[in-house]
Amino acid sequence: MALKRINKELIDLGRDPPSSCSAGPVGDNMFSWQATIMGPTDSPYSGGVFFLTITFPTDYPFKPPKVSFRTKIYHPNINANGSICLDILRDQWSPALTISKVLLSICSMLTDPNPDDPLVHDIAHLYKTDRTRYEATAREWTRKYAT
Amino acid sequence: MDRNNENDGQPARIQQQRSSVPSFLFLIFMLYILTNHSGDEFLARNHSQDSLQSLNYQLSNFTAWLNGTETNFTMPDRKAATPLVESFMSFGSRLNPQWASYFPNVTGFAHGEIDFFNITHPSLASTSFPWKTHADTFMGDTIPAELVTHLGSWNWTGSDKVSWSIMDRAPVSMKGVIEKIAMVHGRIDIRHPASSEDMKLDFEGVHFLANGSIFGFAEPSGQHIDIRYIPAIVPEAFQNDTARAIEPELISRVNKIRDMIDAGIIEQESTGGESQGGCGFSVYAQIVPSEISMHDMEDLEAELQTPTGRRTVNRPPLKLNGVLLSKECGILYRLRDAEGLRSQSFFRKVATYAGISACVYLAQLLLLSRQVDRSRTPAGLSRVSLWTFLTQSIVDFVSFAGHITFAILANGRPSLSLVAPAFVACVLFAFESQHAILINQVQAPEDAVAPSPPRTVQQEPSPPSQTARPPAPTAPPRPTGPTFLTLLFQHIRSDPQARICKHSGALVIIPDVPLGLGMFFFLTFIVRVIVTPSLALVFVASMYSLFWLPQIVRSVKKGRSSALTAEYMIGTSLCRLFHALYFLTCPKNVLDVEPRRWMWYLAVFIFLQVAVVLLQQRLGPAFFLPKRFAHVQVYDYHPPLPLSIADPEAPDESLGDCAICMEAIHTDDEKQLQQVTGGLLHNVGTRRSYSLAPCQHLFHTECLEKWLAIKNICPHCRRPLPPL
Repeated sequence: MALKRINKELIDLGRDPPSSCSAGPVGDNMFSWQATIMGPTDSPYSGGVFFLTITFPTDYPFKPPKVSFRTKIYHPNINANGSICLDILRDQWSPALTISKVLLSICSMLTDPNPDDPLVHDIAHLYKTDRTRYEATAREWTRKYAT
Repeated sequence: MDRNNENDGQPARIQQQRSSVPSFLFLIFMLYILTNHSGDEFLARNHSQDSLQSLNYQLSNFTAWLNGTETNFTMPDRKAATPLVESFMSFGSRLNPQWASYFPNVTGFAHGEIDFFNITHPSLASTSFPWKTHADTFMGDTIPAELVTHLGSWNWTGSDKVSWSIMDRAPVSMKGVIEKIAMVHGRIDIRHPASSEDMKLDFEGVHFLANGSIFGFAEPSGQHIDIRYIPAIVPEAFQNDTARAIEPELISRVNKIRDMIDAGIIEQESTGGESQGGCGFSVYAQIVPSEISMHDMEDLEAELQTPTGRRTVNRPPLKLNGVLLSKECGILYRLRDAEGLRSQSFFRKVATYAGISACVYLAQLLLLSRQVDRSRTPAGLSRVSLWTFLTQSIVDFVSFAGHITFAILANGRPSLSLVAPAFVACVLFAFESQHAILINQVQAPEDAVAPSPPRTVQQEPSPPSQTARPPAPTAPPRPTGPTFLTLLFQHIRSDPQARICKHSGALVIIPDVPLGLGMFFFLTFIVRVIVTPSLALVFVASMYSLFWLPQIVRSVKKGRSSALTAEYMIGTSLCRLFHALYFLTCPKNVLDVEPRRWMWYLAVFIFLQVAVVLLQQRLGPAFFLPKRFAHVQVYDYHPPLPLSIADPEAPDESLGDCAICMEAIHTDDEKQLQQVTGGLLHNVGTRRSYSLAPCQHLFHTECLEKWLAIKNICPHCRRPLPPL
């Protein structure tokens, strides 16, 4: 069932690709994907291309896929290992969600970080207190690592 | 939609620790309340000085009297009592050590029934007891009016039970005393069936080891007992020895008080002026001889004091006969075959109880872990009642608190063993409450107000108003309304003030008033349950009858049988009944609780509930209800689909894609089936390949079943779903 659904999602992605995102399997293994996200234009990440890895569990879609950033990014909800703090990837997962929806969620998270539930407290603190400095650092990181 | 999800959905919480400072203060407050006593040291010191003086005076008088010098102390003549007492009991004689013996030490507790006799002149006038003349001579010329003033408020006539705790000292060994005499002291509680309080008497006396007789005085609690007068009531042959044995006792008391005053230790004597009555009694008691030889008895005693595991003869019963005689009140109580329990054997009994009780709790723990293992999935958890586990956890908490309280209060050897069942009960409580919280988390969406559906719903072509069929029943309410604990739980979860607010790096603790208050009332209630026997009985009865009832109700309401295994239910019921039956039907339990007949009915009732729950699993959840009540609440996942639901763009083949596997949902033969029956013979519960959730979302039955095993919310709109 998992493989069938992953295949279906891949076909849907090809037929109706979301703007600013793309995803697909790395090799022959359909359970291991790679995805890219273009930094949203209204965010300090604009102009950057961020790579992500997606690993599907064997009981997908009943369990959420594991998604993590491979490109370094300065964001309150993403830590140095690329782990993402996003509820729909954890306890709020629903089988009705798809990879394209997950990627869109991540995109919107880049535009609107959630500093109240941070993964990196320093960045969240900076985001809340000194927005311009946060944006400067984020832009610099994007320039450094994502272009 | 995604952003909405991100912000609307519960953010993954970072574990925030509750501060322990308020709870610590709270605990100290509770302990203060529990241990509050009014110590008035100054008064106590004065009191000690006074008693030292009077004791010194008594001692000098007594010594002078013993030596035959001039003194103002005279031994009263109480010989008139002997014939009267002897008509109610017989004193023991010396026994042949080969055949029989008396218990050399009676330290322990004796319980027995007492018969009341009024020995005043007026009341005996019309009777013809054989001992009437003895009583008349004994009472002599007492004035009835004086008797009444002594009697006080206590109901002496109706008193029917006595419990006597006795401490037997080592026999006095001194020059000039031929008999083996041991000083005894203790307390005599006279009980009245209608009164919750006892008439408490202090007891001091002597125990003659050779013939197993005990003589002494009992005075209302707090009043001084003059042991100098004991020789007056013992048989003439023993009088001199008794007098000699009492002298060192007096000396040692004087020394003890002097030492205490010197050391600055003030004994907090409870000299509360209980004026229940002022009847002082002379106590005559006789140990019933046991039919084992002296040698065996000594053996038995040595083994009891210092257990070595040696094999001894069977312990013969310890029985006491006696008479409590009060001249000032004109009362005679006859004590017949009071059963004595040596404190050492009592301690052993407690230890045995503690061991068995701990094992029973361990068994329950094992059963619980097996059950939890089996109903771990949300589907399983939604099929067990929260209240079943909540009541059990409360019962275990009370049991833990009770055991630990007795362990602390009984500061002796039994305390250590009682810690074992207390500990296991505590672990059981922790596991049960944890499981209850888990169940609550899974079932919470059921009674929560249906959340405003996230925007995902907009994809659906079918707003509820379009449907032709009556609106699907939403999840029915839970069997019992939200109570204190659920409210408390929700409060903890929802109230941001209940957590530590992290603000600019500084910790701001906002005290949680409702939570603290709730905890206070709950703990006070528990404490009251432990210290009030009558409340404890009501508590046991109500809690025990509540174990499986919520499960039955829930099963009926949800239309699903329980996920509890027969093994768990029967095992747990047996284990729980062990404790209840032990205390409430076993006449010789360690707490000395009187057997209650209703406990048996309660046991039957519990097993009746177990039987119903098990039959629900076999015969259907509502088998005992009339047909028209059954199935009322059950949500049907497989209704014949009205055409409005079907995707208008593909009306013939598919009903749309299943959101879980993304495959098309086909009606298969359902259409034909529907045509044949015309929708009239709508068979509830027939399994079909599609399932329509109450929120009008359609899935494959197989897919939805798999998802519901993980979480019972709709994949689309996250609304809670009834069991499939």
